[in-house]
Amino acid sequence: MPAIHLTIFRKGLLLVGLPMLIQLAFLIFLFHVQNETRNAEQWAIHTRDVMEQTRVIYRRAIDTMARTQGALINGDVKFGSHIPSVRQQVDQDVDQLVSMVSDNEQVERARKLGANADALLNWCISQSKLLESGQSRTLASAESRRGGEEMIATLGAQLDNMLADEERLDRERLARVTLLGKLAYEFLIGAAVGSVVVAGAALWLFSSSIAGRLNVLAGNANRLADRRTLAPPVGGHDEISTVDQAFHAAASRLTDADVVERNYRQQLEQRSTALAELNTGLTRVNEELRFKTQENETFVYSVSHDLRSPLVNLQGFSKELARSCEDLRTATLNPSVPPAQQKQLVELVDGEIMESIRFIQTAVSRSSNIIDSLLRLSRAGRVEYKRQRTELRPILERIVGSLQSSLRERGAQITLASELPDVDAEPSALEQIFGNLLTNAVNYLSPDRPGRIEAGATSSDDPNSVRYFVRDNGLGIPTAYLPKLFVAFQRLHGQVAPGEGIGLALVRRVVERLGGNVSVESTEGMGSTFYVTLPKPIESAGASASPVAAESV
Amino acid sequence: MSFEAVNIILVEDDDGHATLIERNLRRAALTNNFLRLKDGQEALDYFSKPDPCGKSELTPGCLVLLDIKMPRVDGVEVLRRMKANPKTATIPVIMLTTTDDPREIERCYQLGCNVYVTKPVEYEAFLEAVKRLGLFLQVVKLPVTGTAGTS
Repeated sequence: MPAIHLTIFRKGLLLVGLPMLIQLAFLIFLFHVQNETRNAEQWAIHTRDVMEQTRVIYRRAIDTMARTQGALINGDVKFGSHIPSVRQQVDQDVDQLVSMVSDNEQVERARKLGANADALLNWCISQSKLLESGQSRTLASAESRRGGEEMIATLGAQLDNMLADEERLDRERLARVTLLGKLAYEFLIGAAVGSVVVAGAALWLFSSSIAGRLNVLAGNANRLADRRTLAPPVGGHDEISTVDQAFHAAASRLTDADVVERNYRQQLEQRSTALAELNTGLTRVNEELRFKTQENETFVYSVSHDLRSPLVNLQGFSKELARSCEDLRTATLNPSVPPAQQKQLVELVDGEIMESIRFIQTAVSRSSNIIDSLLRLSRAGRVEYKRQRTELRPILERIVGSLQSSLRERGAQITLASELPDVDAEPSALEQIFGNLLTNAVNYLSPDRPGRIEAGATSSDDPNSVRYFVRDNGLGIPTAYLPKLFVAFQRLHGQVAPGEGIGLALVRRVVERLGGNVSVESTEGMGSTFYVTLPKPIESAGASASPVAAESV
Repeated sequence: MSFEAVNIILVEDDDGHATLIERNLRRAALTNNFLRLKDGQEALDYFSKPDPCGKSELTPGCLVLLDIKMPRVDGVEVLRRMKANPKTATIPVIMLTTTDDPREIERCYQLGCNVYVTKPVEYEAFLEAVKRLGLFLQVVKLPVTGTAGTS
């Protein structure tokens, strides 16, 4: 399409109007041809009329001439009386002829014809007058006759000319009508062909400019509905292209929305992947940590055993040395040895040597205790607990029983609460936990006041747990020391009671292995309260307590 | 059967431990033949001989004191091989070691050791353990007199 911007309405108007215009033009032309033909026919009739009129005039003149000559010959005097009426009639005829040919060059000729006819009639009148006056000889003279015949000849010639011209005019008019008829025929063919061509062109224009694009538009509408890619824009500047542009705009917006949505989804997927990776990483780290912890404990265990071996030697051979010293002492007391030397040797053996041996033995015992503690601690981390519903009271009573001598010695007492809820744990583990806590409580009582120790249960924040406490009015723990309290080999009151600083570390480890936790509240110089939170038995908890992970080393 | 006739084979890589064990058993007036093997490989070599204990009417057999932690071949492996071999399967074995891991002990009993004794660092306890194992086997002839071994 050229750069003329037409709407569909205008295009439709064009499609319908153009053929109509062409047909209208054709009709006008046809009408015109028909008109012309009819005119030509009228003209032909007119020509014939003119010729007839001419001939009428001529005949009248000839007739009058002949009658005049006859009257002359017969000497009919009365003849002359009706000539004026003929003359009047001829004049009328001439006038009529003149008016008939007033449109062309024949007028002059008609006038001449009229004049000649008039002259002829005048001659006839003069002849009749002559006759009336009785001059019949003059009339019959050749001269007279010759005058009349000349006039007749002139009139005849004029008549011929007139007729010839009229015929020529008639031919011309006929030729014109024929030409018009031929033109009309050709134009008819042209119009038929033109109509077909215009119709074809209109069809082509419609199919290329509207139908095809409408198809594309319909396809695009379907594609848009199915979220498929649209066909390229249909060109043009009409309603179709406007709708198509709207479709493309909508598709582009949909595509944009899709892109945004896809981006969001991708981001979501990326985040969840990252989360999953993080989770996997954490699980791995956790696993590694657990593995490391186990490895550490295995290492501690194995090293402790390896350390035991040389200790056996140290202790064994120090005993051997002590035995040898005893033998040496016995040998020294032999009477053969001089008393002075005896005294010196005995002093040496009993004094410095035995002292050295005792130091060695003390050191060995201490090392052995540390190693045993380490072994206990590492075993607490490795052992598998068989958890079950356990009653705490018998365990506490057994511990209190074993502490009776210490309690008596210090004048202290332990009170057990009347209500002690059951717990989900292994009895031996509970014995370790509360044995350590109660022993500590007894060991670190204040000498300033009578020792009062309580054990019982308090309410727990977690409905699936039970919370026990062991409270004393002993030495208490300085706030600064609290963070280190449950760390192995950290001793606060080193001189108050023997120990390796392993008890609370062991307690924490066992409690944690059981799925619980331990905490402390303390005021220095007032006393301490240790809290142990452990899982409730499953039946009474109403919810599944997490089982302790079964670990094997 | 008399314990004096029984050869005591001590498989122990630690010279000190070996010395202490032998001295104290001697001090307990055990007069048996002592044979010390330094590690598991030596023990395996020894027991692969046709007649390791020289068991006959005069020599009723032997008793093995076996340490667990040894280089090359450990005591558990020696025990396993001995029990797997019909020739040595009947020889009584006493595991003598510093390890008191319940799993280790369980394993040794499963493999067929007769007694498992933990070497305590405390010397007296150690001597007591050695004496107890003798009593358990009812082959140790406790001296009627003598001061050694007890404090």
